Amino acid sequence: MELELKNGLEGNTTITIKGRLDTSTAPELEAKLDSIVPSSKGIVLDMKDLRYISSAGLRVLLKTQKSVGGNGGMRLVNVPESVMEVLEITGFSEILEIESQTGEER
Amino acid sequence: MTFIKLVAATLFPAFLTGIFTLLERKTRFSSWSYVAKQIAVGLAFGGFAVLSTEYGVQLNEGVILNVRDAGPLCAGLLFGAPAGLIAGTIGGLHRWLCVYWGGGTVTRVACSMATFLAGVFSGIMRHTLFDGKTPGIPSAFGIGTTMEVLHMLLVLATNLSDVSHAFLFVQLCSFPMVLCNGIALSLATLVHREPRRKEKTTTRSRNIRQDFGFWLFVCVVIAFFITGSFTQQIIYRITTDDAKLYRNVTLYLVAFMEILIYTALFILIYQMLKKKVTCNLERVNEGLRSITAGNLDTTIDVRTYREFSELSDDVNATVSTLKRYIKEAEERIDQELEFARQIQISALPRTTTSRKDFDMYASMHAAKEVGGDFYDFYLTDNYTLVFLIADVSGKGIPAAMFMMRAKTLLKDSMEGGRPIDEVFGRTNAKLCEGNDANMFITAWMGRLDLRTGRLEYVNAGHNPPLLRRRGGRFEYLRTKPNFILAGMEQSRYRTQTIQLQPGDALYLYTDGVTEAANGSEELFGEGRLERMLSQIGNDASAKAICSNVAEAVKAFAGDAPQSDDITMLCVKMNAIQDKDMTTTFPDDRSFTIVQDFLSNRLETADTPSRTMDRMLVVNDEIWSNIVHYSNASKASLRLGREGDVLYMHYSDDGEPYDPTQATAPDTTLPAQERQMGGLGIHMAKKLSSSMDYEYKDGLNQLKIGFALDIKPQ
Repeated sequence: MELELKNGLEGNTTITIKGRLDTSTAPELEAKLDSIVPSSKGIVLDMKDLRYISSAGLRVLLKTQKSVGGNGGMRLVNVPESVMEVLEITGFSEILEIESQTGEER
Repeated sequence: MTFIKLVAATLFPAFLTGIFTLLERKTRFSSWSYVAKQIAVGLAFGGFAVLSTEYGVQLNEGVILNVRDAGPLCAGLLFGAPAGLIAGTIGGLHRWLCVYWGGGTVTRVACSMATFLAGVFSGIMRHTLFDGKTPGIPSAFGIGTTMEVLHMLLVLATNLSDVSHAFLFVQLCSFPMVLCNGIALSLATLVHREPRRKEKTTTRSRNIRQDFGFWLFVCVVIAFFITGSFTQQIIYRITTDDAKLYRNVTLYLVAFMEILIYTALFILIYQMLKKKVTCNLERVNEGLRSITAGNLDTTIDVRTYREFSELSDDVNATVSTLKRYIKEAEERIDQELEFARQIQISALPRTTTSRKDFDMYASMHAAKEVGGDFYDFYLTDNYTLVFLIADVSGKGIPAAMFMMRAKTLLKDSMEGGRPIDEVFGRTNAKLCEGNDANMFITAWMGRLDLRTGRLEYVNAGHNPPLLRRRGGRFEYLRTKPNFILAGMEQSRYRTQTIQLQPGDALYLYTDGVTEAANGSEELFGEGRLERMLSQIGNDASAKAICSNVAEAVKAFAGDAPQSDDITMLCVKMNAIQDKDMTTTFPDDRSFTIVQDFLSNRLETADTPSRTMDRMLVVNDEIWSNIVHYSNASKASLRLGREGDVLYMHYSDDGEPYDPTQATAPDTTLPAQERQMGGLGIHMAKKLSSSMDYEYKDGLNQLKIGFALDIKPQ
């Protein structure tokens, strides 16, 4: 997995996640988010190159979602179909703000 | 009667010397202090001088013959200057005083002086001429007679006013007294000498000093007889009575003076020769001996005379040229050894190989001299790892050449999948051919089947390796070794087999490790190696294990020079893996092993990417469940296909757990109330098309299916 960071104009941060987000790689994302969230006015996770996500990755998303609730929020963009499938199975699609790869707002 | 008395007096000093010599050799007298000994000897010989004076041999006309002077002479010459001085003083004083109870007055001054001078003169001779050692018989005779000549000269010199009376004494006494004193001193010297040693220590040839002394002596004697016979002729040319007396006196005086002058000359020249030539030669020789003994840094620096200065410079120049040639030769040899070592090292494989299923590291710290250690490892096919470590007897170029031959033979013999005992047998037979130098090799070779973990090995007289089972400690893998390679042509080798499990590590080494010595000659030893290895964590890589040992050996040896190659090799088994199955110890690092296995297999099977992603997600969920909750020591994943369904078959020896019975979490709660528990199993169920569990043979068996063209449940 690789992470790329970009700071937006309104003080929000975009993180591009590439590769797999699973047991071996989730701790890295978690550490990165832990260092950004307190000072950020909103997190955007760009998932266009994310191959798949497992429950270890979901745990990080849930934790972040809980902590940024009133702090600009977290948004998932360019979510590919395979990841979307997992989010739907687990009901995460109901609690997260998601923009799928096709640009469709949900 | 007169004659017997004289003989007895002449023998007496020898008798006295004999007594002291025996006391010195046989009794505790030898442990007396130097001063005490000198006083004892001085008193004894002083006593002899007194007796000599008292019991002299009466000749007619009041002339008394004696050997008084022999007392102080013996004491000074044979025992030391202080003893001579004491004896001379006693004898001289007594002679002076004896006038009061009947001693002769004519020779009073001359005799007292002569006795005292005998003690002094002999002491000086002992220290200058003979370096405190016992002189030879001729020298002793010469000193005795010279002293008496001086005595006679003094008699004449102190009585020049009444020369006719004095001359009577001299005429009667001179010959017997000179002779008796000479003989007395010679006999005493003979008694005092060390018993002649049977073997001659260094060389029989005379030294310069002796030779020179002898010829000088001959010259002095000849010169004396020439002038003697010349003056003898004058005696018969002058006849008047009065003139005859003065003529005789003069002749005696001349003769005595001649003897004294020649003796003085002899001593002077002898002494000069000794000081100026012999001593300097000794110094040059001392330097040369040191150089011959191998100390090329010795310089000779005798600067007393130009000749010795030049000799010193020439010797020094020769030595420095020699040193330069030796240094140049050493440098050339060092350079060639360095090339040899580089060739040797480049013949060994790269030190490290790391794969998902095994981890391998080898290192060789060569000693200064090129040595005969080597290792080798290679894959004969994708699933067979061959590794070996070996030590050729001896060091240097011969060992290195033998090592190259052995390495090539071993590798060549492996071709065609020959059993390893046969590989050793063949190599042994070939090495035995033409092994004129009688070299031999100890070697340990293993062939590991990475699909099953089965390790076949054969040991030809090599140190036992250490094996660590997963979670255990390193222990010596002691099995009866076979005979060394290249020792006997008919040697037979036997293969042994053990089963390795994922996580097991095997450490091989040569005796350079266990026989590394520290400054106090203590060896590193097998026990220390075992303890040291056991301190290394289970997670350490093969490279870390080798580096740790190498550092420990280095720290142990300190500044002590490394005498042998330190070679080691470590193989660590990460996973047992065949085409469709991987088995490993379920820990944090196993995730990548299993994920890589899975994605590689699915990619080669052209699995649709959607199915593949689902399988990877499910595997992550199931595998993390095994790693985190099962306490299993071994887990495996096998892939299979039945028609249009792909299966992932998990098997682990952990606590029984049936995921199909897990309750699904509530996936409709708002974010703040969501919990993660059970989510992974829920996902696995949803993403797969079937999930079957059974507990069988002590193993959790979970079979998860993915239909290739059907959407998930």
